[in-house]
Amino acid sequence: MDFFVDLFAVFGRAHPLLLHMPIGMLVGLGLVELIAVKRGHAPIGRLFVFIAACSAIFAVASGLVLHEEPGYESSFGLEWHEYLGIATAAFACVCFVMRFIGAIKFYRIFLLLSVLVMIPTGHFGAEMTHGKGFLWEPFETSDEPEYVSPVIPSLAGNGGAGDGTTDSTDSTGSADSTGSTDSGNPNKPTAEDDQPPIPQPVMASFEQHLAPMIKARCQKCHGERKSKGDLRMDSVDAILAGGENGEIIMFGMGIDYPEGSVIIEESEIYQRLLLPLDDDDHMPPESKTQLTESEIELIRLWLEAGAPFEGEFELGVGKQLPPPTVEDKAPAKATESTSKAEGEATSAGSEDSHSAPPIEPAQPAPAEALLALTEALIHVQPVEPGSTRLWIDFAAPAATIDDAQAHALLEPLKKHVGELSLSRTKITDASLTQIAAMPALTRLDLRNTAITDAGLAALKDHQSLSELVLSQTLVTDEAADTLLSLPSLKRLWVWDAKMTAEGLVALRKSMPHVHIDAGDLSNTEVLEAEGDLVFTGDAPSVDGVTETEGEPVLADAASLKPINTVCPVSDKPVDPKYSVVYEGRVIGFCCQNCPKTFWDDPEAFLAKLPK
Amino acid sequence: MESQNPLDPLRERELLMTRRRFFGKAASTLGAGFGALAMNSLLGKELGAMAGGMGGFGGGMTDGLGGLPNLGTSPADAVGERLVGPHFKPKAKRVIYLHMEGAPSQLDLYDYKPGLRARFNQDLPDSIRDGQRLTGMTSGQTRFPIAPSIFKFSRYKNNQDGLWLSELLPHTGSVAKEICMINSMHTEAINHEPGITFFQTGNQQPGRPSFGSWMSYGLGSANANLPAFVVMITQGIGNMQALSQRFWGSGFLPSEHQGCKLRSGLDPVLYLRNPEGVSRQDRRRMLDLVGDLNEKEYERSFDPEVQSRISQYEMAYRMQMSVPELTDFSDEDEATLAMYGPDVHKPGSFAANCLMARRLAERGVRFIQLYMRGWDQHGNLPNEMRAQAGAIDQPQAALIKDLKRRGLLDDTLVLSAGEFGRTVYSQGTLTTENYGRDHHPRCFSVWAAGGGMNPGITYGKTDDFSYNIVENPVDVPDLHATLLHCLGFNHERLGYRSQGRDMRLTDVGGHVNQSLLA
Repeated sequence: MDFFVDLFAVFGRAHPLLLHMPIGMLVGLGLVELIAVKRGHAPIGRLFVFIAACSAIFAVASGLVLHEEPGYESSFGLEWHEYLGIATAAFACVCFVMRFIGAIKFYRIFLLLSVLVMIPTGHFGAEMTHGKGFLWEPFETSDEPEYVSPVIPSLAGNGGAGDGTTDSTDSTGSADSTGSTDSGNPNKPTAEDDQPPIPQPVMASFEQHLAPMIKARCQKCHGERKSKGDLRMDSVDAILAGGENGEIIMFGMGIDYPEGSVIIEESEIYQRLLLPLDDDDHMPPESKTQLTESEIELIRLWLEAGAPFEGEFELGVGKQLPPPTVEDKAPAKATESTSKAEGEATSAGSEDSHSAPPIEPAQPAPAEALLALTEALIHVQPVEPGSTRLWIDFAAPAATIDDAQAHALLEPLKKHVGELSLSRTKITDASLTQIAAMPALTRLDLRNTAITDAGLAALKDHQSLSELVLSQTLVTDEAADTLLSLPSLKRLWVWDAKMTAEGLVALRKSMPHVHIDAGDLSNTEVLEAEGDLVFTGDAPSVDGVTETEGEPVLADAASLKPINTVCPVSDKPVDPKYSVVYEGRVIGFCCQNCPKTFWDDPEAFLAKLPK
Repeated sequence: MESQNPLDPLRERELLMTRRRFFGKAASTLGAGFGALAMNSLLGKELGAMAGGMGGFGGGMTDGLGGLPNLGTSPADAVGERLVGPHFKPKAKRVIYLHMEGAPSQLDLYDYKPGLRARFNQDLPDSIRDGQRLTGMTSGQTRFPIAPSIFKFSRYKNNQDGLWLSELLPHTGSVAKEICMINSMHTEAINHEPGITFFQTGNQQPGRPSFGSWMSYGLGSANANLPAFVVMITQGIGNMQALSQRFWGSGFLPSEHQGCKLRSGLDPVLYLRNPEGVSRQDRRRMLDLVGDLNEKEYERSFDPEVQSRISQYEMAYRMQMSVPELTDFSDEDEATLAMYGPDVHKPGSFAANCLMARRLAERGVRFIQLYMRGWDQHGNLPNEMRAQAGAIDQPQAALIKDLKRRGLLDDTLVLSAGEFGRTVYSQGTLTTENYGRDHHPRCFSVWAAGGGMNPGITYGKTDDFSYNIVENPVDVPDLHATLLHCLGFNHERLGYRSQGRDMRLTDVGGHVNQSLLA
């Protein structure tokens, strides 16, 4: 059945082909009919009109199918293209019907209409493929030199992915990007890769280091197809020209800033990157992949060097070049590197020099294995969007899960397990051998299981495990060896395990960088506490009348005694604690709800009160 | 007659589905019944795309899993196809939201104003009230005498210069290092109903989905045997206001996302047992048959409520097994029970509900909401406050400690909030022993703990009267945006199209407050 789905998709993609049929036929018909009217000829045959109408219908239908494909987000242009296209086809059909029944006059009117409507249809469609303003572009840019810098071929829109920069250490790089670089680029620069960093000023160049970054992160919106804010960044001149808000790199003019230097504080190419993520002016927009901190730093250093487009500039001793920018493949990864989230996502593994980051498997987890988990009511989801590492939580069927079941379900996913909770299951030490062979595991929750030191020993030297919950297990002081062998361990829970107080003290001493929670950390000390309270206050003055009140005002309580003994709302006895002051008089009520009724219309109840 | 009103949700859905129908119809004319199949394989994406009208939720859960084919068709998770999934790596995987219904007085619990003691019974300066609207309950008062709190405060060590708490909250003080106290909340509503509605749904008018429903929709359940959004209610000691079911309603979201209320009596869920003579197999067969019929109806009408119905039946079936185990506290040790206080043995008490909240959290329930009623202390505040605070103090501190030692506090966000604050001036008679306080939306205190919130800080300042905010105000959408951030969501992208508009919890407001994040 997938074949039909695919066939449908092909039909959709034929839209750019099919759409030329009605354009040609309807315009042709129009011209023929124009001449026919002029010379008094008979109208053209039905068959031609029929084919024209059919071609219009096919063009519209394929367009609608094409719209289904990702990448065609609804926009002003797309919507109008769609509506007008449907209108064109509709007019063409009416046109054929008129021709068929012989209403020649109406036939020609509708033919004219369909041609007229088709013109803006085509225009909106063309803007989608060629970019907005494509048609009138020659007029707009004619006064500027038509020049794309030959110096920076990689900046131009169609350059191959990653040319000029290769890096085999980028473990997250998608399969095809490494494939393309492996094929070997004859002009591959040799300066920065293949060689270890030398303790000398690191050099960088616009062409090699900034251009690919700009291409990957900026040109989708500031390029040939789209030029948001009238800014294009696909050539040196375009970058220098700036956008609707003026130049994006502000060069010094003398006095404070010598000529040739860049005023970094006023250069939007850099300042916009620093704005808070939710600022509307932040670039790249919040939803797009963000530049990393080192990439932003590179831009700053480049500006500091006077923004040279040619030749090299100095980064400074000990600085590192950011890894080459990889163009987005999966949209799901878009927000992965958003400021704070990024810091946290990587902090688990990267803070300490001796910890290894979790290994992200290149292939997604096998579908059957995931299906088996969900069918067993076990929760599974990526640890973060776009990641192939999984969070697997056995919470739902915990009470029924034993070693054999856990083993069978987890075996095909060993490489993908990132966070695993087996809390409250019936697993024993036997399961830990399998868990030890999970290279991407960072968090393991074994709380409330029958795990002992012997089982835990299997985890010895696990490289990526950073959080381990052993609360309510049978683990004793003997586990220290295993725990000390975990290079990435950051947080450990051992509440209600079988550890002794002394063992815990020793463990804390031997691993000071690990936060160990044994249920004994929560209490906090009182820094100061208030003594007896004294209330004082001046005699308040209301409406010029000074009330006589002692100081302190304790004596006042008696003077605030209600004037009534019966609640004016309910006629029940007054409880003095439910009193209100009205027109200087204290009125008592029986409960807290009566005052509300009273305030709705105080005058109605006044009669019931003693004078 | 079928409604033609485009604002009718069913009709709206139909309009959105038109394109999909075109597929189905066109395909079925090709024969081979391929329409239905195309529907099945594409429906998940379509719904995601539909919900993602505001910019595409590209990171849908199914997408993220790569090869996982259509979670939605697996019996385990009929909800799967509607999962949105977080936008970035979440800090918090679940929320325990303690709603203090009736609005507790910030002056007597959290916002320490020792200067007021020297202003006892003085009139509130007009420059402070500044024409602020009053409720009908105090608008007739001729004067607004300042009522300092009669409770002593203590300063507890946190990660800044200490957290001031009332003497009524000694246990809460013991977890001060975990608490992110916000003293500068403010809201727009001045009465309970709109106030709670605003806090729960981001809008004062009823009809929007509640926070828990958004989370059920956004995160899905992490335990297929229990609802993603559970509500529990504790009856208060003081003045109680009505508590509408719609506070945990799902609004325009499919109704399977509405909160599931556990009853506070001995029987949290009624009619769990199959009736005499009906075996579990019988029940299964009955549900399968009804499910088939419902599927047929769905294929005909595309009404999402039919799917909700299917998934609710399945949920109820699974809850028959999961709930008895959940509500049986016999596996809790004595020390744990004692930590929550003596009330823990009383079903429906705040202590019992806090313990239940922890049990739900460790079982993967995404959003657990506890309502503590009875904070509406217009009069007789000191007495009622003692009783109310006494009922929550030990359990809420125990909840935090219990989550922490189980390794759950890191990814469980605990929030305690009322719908607004209370006035510094007394409603009704003021004595040194007794006073009342009216509603006050301009400033109040809420706190959070765990789940990526900044622990051990106090944020925001009010003036000397705790009447106006002088530093770092946080409004309700800001709080929502910040909480959503902790849960891995960009609040501007978690949306759902309804009535022709892309709706969000934060509506048109909300800024993530970085200072509140760990």
